[in-house]
Amino acid sequence: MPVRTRTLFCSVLILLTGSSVIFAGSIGLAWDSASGAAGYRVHYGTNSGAYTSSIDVGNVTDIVFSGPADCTTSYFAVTAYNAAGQSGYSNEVASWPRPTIASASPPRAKQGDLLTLDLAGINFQNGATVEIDNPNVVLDEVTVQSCDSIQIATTVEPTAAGVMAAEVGRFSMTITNPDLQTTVANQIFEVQVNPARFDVVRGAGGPSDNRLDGRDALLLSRLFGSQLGEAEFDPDVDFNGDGWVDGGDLAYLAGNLGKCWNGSGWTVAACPQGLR
Amino acid sequence: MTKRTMYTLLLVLVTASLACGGGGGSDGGMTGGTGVAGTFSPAQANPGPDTVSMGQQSASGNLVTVAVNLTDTASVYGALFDMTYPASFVEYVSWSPGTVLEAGGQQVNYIVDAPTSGRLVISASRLGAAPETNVTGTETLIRITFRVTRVGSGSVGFENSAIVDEQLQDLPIQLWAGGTLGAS
Repeated sequence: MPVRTRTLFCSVLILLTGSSVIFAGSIGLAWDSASGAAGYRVHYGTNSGAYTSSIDVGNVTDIVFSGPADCTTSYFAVTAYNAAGQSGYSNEVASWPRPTIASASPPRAKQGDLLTLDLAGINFQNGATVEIDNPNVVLDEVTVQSCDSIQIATTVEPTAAGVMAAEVGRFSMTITNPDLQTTVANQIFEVQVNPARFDVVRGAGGPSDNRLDGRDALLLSRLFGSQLGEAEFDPDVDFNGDGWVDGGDLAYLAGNLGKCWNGSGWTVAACPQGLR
Repeated sequence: MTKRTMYTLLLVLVTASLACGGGGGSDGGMTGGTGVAGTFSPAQANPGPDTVSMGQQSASGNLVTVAVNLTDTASVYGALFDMTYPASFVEYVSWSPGTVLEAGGQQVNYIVDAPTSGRLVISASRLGAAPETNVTGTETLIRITFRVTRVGSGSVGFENSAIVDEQLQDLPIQLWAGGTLGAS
């Protein structure tokens, strides 16, 4: 009778994963399949090489491990098993749970603002990097205050004439920990248009200064249709920062012609007596 | 459809809607009949070259439409002006486009805002790299319709005004001539 030999794998290579299906506060793990394996067991603990718990995950090669302690490093190794027994431990991986962003404060700012943006959440590691999907919102300095707080010195362009404006709208932020666990907070920060930018023809004195009027509208009309990268494009009249001078920008003027700047908005009351 | 074209269409909608809302109040179908009749008398009935003037386009009951005209002017790209009117007995109703800037089938951006009673702030311009146009004779830039609400008489005039060329430089307009709006 032939002897059926059951062989077992020498090693299993385990990796951390960061796929989008991994939930906040969890850790994604994946490993190479082992020939002849009937299933796998994930071993874990909070000290390297000392695994105090394990779970049988069946015959799969990736899992999302839920419930690790926040702001704490967990260590993982995998073994494969079949009827012949269990393999040795795979390599070990260490990770915090995936970070989570709960809120941004302030949740919005307007073009031209310099602000300190506070991100609240959990599992922020020292050395975490932060990105925002708006190239003209500049995250000047990121400081991880604690595992549940990040402060970011932030510049919302334009802070000077001739500088491309941050596009208005809601934008997502991404935090990536040094262990590469990452999270995206969708539309968590809003950029608002800065109405002080609307008075694009000024400096000549006279009624056009600090007043929205036909001269401002005509400049936008003249540049209408120009886009970022073209010689004629002027970022100062691209109010919404979308890279085009178009109806979206002219619409900010419509409804405001004849109004004057009062320091925070356009009102008729701010105009000189003869223009009210 | 290119983005540029799409926004042009959007712009027309935006400006039209703002202008219709700018005058305040319903027109009731634009047939005046409240017992007060309006008329407009131009200050310059026979405008010479490089003149911006007003003229009565039509009058029906209490509604008066004033045409803002341009005479014999070269290199016109856009116009801007405030239009003042006697708010004590006149209300702004609506605007409609003229013919000067549309010549050659060009797209035109109009903004007519009424920030306060007695004053319209108006911008009318071609868009982008559209060419200038030359006005021969007298043609209309824009038409403004007013409603008279009670008996009275007062001047309609221009302030903060300019006609500009493609470089947005002011053209040498010789005269800005308004007129008198009366209700009896």
